Amino acid sequence: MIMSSKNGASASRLVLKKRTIKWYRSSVTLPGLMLIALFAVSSNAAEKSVAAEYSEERTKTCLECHDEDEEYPVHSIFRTAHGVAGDSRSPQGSEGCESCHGPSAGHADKPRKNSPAISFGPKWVTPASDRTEMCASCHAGEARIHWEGSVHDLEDLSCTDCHRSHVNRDPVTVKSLQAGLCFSCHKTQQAELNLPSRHPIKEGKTICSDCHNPHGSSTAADLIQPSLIETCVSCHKEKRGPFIFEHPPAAEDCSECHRPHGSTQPSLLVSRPPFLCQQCHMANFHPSLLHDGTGLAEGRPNFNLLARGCLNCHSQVHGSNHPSGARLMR
Amino acid sequence: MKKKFYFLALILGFLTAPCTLAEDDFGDDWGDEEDIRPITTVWQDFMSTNSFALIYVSEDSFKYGQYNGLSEKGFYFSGALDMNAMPAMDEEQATGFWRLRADNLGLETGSFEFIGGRQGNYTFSVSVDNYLSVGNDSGRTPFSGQGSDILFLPSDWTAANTTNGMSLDGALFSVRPELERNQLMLEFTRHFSDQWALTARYSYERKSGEKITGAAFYIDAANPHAAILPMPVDYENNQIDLVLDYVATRLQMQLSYLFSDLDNRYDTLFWQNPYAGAFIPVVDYPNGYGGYDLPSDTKFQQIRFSGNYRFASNLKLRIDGSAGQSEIEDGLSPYTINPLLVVETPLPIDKIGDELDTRHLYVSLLYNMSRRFTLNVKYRFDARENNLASYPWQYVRADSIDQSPALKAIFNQPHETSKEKYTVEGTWRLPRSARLTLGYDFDTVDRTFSSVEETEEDTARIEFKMRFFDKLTARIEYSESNLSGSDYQWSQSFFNSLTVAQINLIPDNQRFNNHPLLRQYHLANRESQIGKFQLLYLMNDAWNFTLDSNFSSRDYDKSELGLTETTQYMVNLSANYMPSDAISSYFWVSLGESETEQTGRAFRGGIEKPANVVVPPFPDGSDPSRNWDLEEEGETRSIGAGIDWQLIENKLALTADYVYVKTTLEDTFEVFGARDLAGEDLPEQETTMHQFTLAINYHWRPECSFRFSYEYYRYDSEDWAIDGVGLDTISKVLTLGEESPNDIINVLSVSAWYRF
Repeated sequence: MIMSSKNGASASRLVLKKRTIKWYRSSVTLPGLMLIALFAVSSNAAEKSVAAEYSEERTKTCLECHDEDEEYPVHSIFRTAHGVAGDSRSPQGSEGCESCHGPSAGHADKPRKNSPAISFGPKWVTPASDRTEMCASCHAGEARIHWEGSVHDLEDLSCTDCHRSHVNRDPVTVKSLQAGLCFSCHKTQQAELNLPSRHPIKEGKTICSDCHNPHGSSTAADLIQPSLIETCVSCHKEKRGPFIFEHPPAAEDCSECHRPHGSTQPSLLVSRPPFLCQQCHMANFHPSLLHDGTGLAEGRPNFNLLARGCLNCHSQVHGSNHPSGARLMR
Repeated sequence: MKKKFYFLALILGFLTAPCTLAEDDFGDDWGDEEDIRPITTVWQDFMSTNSFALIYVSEDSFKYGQYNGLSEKGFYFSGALDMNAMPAMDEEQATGFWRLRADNLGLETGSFEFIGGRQGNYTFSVSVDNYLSVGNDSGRTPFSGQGSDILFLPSDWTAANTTNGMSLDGALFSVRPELERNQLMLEFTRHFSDQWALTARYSYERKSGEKITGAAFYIDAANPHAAILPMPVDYENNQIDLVLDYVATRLQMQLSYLFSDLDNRYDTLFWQNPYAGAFIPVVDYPNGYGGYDLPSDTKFQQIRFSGNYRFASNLKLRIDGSAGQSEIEDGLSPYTINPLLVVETPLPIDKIGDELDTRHLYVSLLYNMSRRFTLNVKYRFDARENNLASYPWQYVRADSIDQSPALKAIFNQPHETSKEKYTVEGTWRLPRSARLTLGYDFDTVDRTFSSVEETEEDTARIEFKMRFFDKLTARIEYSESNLSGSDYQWSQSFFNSLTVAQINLIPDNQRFNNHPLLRQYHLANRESQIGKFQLLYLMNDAWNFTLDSNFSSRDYDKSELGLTETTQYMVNLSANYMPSDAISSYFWVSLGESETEQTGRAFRGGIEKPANVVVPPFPDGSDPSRNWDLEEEGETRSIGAGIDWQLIENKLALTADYVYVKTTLEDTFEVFGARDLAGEDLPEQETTMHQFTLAINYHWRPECSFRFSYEYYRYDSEDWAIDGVGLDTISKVLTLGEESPNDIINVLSVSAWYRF
């Protein structure tokens, strides 16, 4: 391209460009580069032409080697939804094993040298994004609408980092096993699981996916409901409200007072009454007074401190619909 | 329900009996040294498994059995079913299937699920799930009528102005706060095509049992007369969910509708006043009763839309939006249930008729600008609107005195919030699987009836992850936030809750509820830092290690009273050791510490209330020597270890698991000169848990296994709030006299599995 030169610098760049172009045009360099490129393209094309082909007999070809006696047997998949031949959406209803592992004739020809088109390990591991894309070719939408850009996606996790398809039952779908899988990464929550006040996660009655969508969602912490408070009241329905006399932080965000995975305080509280309450309530007389060790059972027992503290009287902490409930006592 | 589960458990016992009759189809090859196939892979050949367990628990323990249905001493039967029927591999047309799963049959935590259908066409499921939560069962009460909505005292009850004058030597009833939640769910999904599917779900849930609550009579706020009561829980909830899914190459959508109807059997808990001599005769024992509102019947509806559209392979739009409404249609309780108290002004409204509207909208644009860089721009909006108007309520103080005059009415404050969040996030994919993310969030919240009308928070985030030498992955995150708000209107609650006439009676310098220097922490200015660090080291085929740590810090730098600072950190170290296929073991340790600091000022009312006096002598409200500081320090120490060891390959395995958890909490005070403020520290609160399980698994045949296990559970705790607090320890609170749990439990169990 010819550029009009307004100053010497531009003209110099133009000259440099011409010199660069001359270099590319050299009789040795250019053909050499073309040969290299041709080789690269043809090699790539050759690999692609091998990888792009399906094996001759699909699943039967695979099972000639991947039989029942292998260290990592794969036959269980035929007893799952992935193995239903009558469903055209299912892998066995279309290209068999290669529905998920991609066209792998090259692997069938030279199994130790060529990997399947999509390999989930252990010997070859295809990049996470490619593995995920393969799963997503069938399992898109529904709970996975927000997968792209989600925390687990950005961590380069693939579907098979959590899911197992070559087993009778995917462990992550088993209530008693799911939390253990999550805790392989989420160690803090694993520790909180054993605290004195907790949800029944160890017992498998409340599982991680009761509150969280590991495939991503529109909320922080990937909650399944539109907000934190909606997630909590999906089980604790009686706290949903509305209330005539509201307790504003309770109406806004349950985590202002509670710690959902586990706490040292009763009722999963972050701190206990009266001290938790005194972080926001400092009215004259008893709300502001110092409720210290002089008020213990063996001293001068203090009703603001002992038993349930403030909740000995003010027990409607989530709100009240009683006409005389302004003090959250009725 | 219980009988049915026991019956099913017995059936399971018979089903596993075939273990003894099963022929050995594996012939002489089973257990052959040349057979290298791990037993766990052999089990994959079976479609179904039944199991049956006989369990013995040595002692009562609500702590051990809090959620597992094993809280009482004795024998238990428990069974599990896992049965499947799928089309055979060579059946090219068949799509029919069913699955039956059941767990904990025989226990009160049993669950059951049946799923069937034609894959790709329709599925239906029926499931039943039972939850059980058991609370501290060491309490006692003189009240009869537990489980109902009326609690009354014995005919020979001796009432008094204080608890130590009451007749507590007589019959007392045990209080066992136990909550059951029984859930039935029916679900049907129809796939109309590869793109369209519709799911309809109906669930019925019943929550029943007993919770603990406190309730009081009072005339003067400094002189309440309270009782800790067992409160009945009996709710039913019917819920319908309809979900329509559309999945195509570029576009995925989900439209859902939810309707939930909560129906509480009880409206009010009535309890007889155990006190006398503190109130007028119509309120004193035996005539006085209190009425405590139980959760209202509520209807909730929500419509929600989620979608994902791919403009191009590198440009995606995600949307999520919902609109919900919660409505109460209950009639209002009266101002008081005591007909002998004078109530002249009627309620401002006949029924609650309150509606709460919630809306949210989320939009995200994900743009892969190159293979190395992704830009994510997000917007989120949340709104909560309480549609009830603000009315003056001439309340009756806790069923204790006549109705307040109009002058002293209190207005309800229907709080509303509106939140917006803007996020920009860039992610760079660097060499060696490294990733760098920089993000910025801007949050704003508008509130009504709040001391702060608007808050804004800026957050800057950085995350970096890198893999070293294919064995070591490191990850670090850090964020800083700064929250600030509009002027803190410390008198907002005072002016919005009282009548004009009442306000005019109060001197100018006393027109506030909370001290003017207090900043409620959810509204207060603050600076926050959050950090996370993780190392994952795959040393070799046998060893791998994980180090995970996180900390958070919040400094409420503008708060003179209230919460001033919180700090938490946790470090987790775990190791897995698998030297061979026969042995796998793990070890983890977790250390956590937390610290909160808060400041208060002890002040009385009247002439001691003013907070703006700057020249001595100071009233209480203005006197900094009336301040007190509380520092609360918590520690958690957890250790876990376990081993799975095949003593004889494919025949005999030993598993052992140990968990140790210790938590401590210290409260220390500091005072600043006021003579009547002692600042005496509280004793340390402590819990210790040891849980050890040892099991022998004997695989008699591939289809039959047995397990013999022993579990040791020890829980020790000290809690100053209830230790030494008898029913009459606090002069004007009739407690349950609970004790901190200190239990040692031994659990033996024998289990059998039959696979087919």
